[in-house]
Amino acid sequence: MLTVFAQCLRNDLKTLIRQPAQWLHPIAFFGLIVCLFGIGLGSDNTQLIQLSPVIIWVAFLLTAIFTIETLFYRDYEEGVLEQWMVSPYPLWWLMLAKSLAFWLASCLPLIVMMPVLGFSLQLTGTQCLLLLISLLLGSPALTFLGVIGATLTLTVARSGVFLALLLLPLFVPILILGVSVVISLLAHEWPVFQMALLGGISVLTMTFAPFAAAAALKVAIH
Amino acid sequence: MSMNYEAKNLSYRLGDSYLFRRINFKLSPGECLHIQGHNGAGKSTLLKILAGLAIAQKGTITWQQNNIHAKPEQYYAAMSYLGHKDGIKRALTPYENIMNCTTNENRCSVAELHALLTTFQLVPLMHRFCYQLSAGQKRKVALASLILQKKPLWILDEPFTTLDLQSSHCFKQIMDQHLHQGGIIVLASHRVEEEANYQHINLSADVNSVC
Repeated sequence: MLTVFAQCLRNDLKTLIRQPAQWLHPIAFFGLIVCLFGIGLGSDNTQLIQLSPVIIWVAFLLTAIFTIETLFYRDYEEGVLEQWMVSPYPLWWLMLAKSLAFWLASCLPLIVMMPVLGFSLQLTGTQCLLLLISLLLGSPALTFLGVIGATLTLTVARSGVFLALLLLPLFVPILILGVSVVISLLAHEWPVFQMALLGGISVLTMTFAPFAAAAALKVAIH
Repeated sequence: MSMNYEAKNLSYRLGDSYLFRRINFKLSPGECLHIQGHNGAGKSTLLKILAGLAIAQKGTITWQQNNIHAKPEQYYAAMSYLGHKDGIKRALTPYENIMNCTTNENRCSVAELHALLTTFQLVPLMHRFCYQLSAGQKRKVALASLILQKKPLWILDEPFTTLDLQSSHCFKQIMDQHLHQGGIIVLASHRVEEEANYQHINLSADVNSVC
């Protein structure tokens, strides 16, 4: 079981390393959206500090949606998904591996890059750190919800907009909590509650999403 | 171990009409089921149902007396399916692809791997990326991983498409050898001649039946 998990993860990461555009483009996209807000809003300090966590979170959500759309499509086209379904290993286990690969390849680079953008949006060190932690806690939830969406829309042609319609409403609670981490810090409160809740949502999605995604995949391929 | 693979009364309905009805067969080791029919007769659908990728409205499929949907792990541990899509990752090399498929269950020996790749003329391509290969070469990579998994039941949907004559011939021999060693093959192909140990199902006969 563990070998299969590691193998699936390794394959996905190898694919990404060999096709750098796949992970470089989302990073550039993320940076650009944040910069656009920065340019548009000008250098008005107070306004920018209030908005910057929102900007970063929304940019993060959008990037995640654009990248997750293609997560399963390639495997579907190549017939790899079919082979997974006729393998003796449980499908949810492979979904879990796939989600982890997505998180490592598409979420982690954005999170690592976030402080640079945070400073350019005039956040302080502590605020950046907390925003980073809120992204770390919230991104697994995004990933797992995204995986469900991606498997559901797998056979829909050009599913991009549809996927966004499906997922964005589900991302609202995560967005609210993620942003309020920094907002409450600005109000000199320590945002333990928001972080605990974000972590809780992530754990919850992790426990049910692989099963839901496996079921959705079966429906899509049947 | 005596295996048996059986389908009873399989019917698949698409909209208002049946694509096929009351398909029955029973296969023992060394037997091959050859599914025939014109384009659109439902060959691929039938194979997908047999592989458990689609579900027939009626009928049961059993492997070792167990329904395949009741004990999927047991069935999938013994069955290899190759459909229209090759099921290999284009960003990986043939070697990595084959190793992915084979390391888990039955680790194949290096000698075996090398012999098979020589037969399929894949040796010089071993460490290229699969997206650089031609359709036929990719097909051969997929067939090689199927063969090296050494599962007793093969379900093959048009395995000879895109293969050149020599490779088709080689694969035919490998199939015969597999049957000879007590394997079971379910095959849909327009390119196979009749043989004694083959059973037939012709889906064209029953095509326009309305329920």
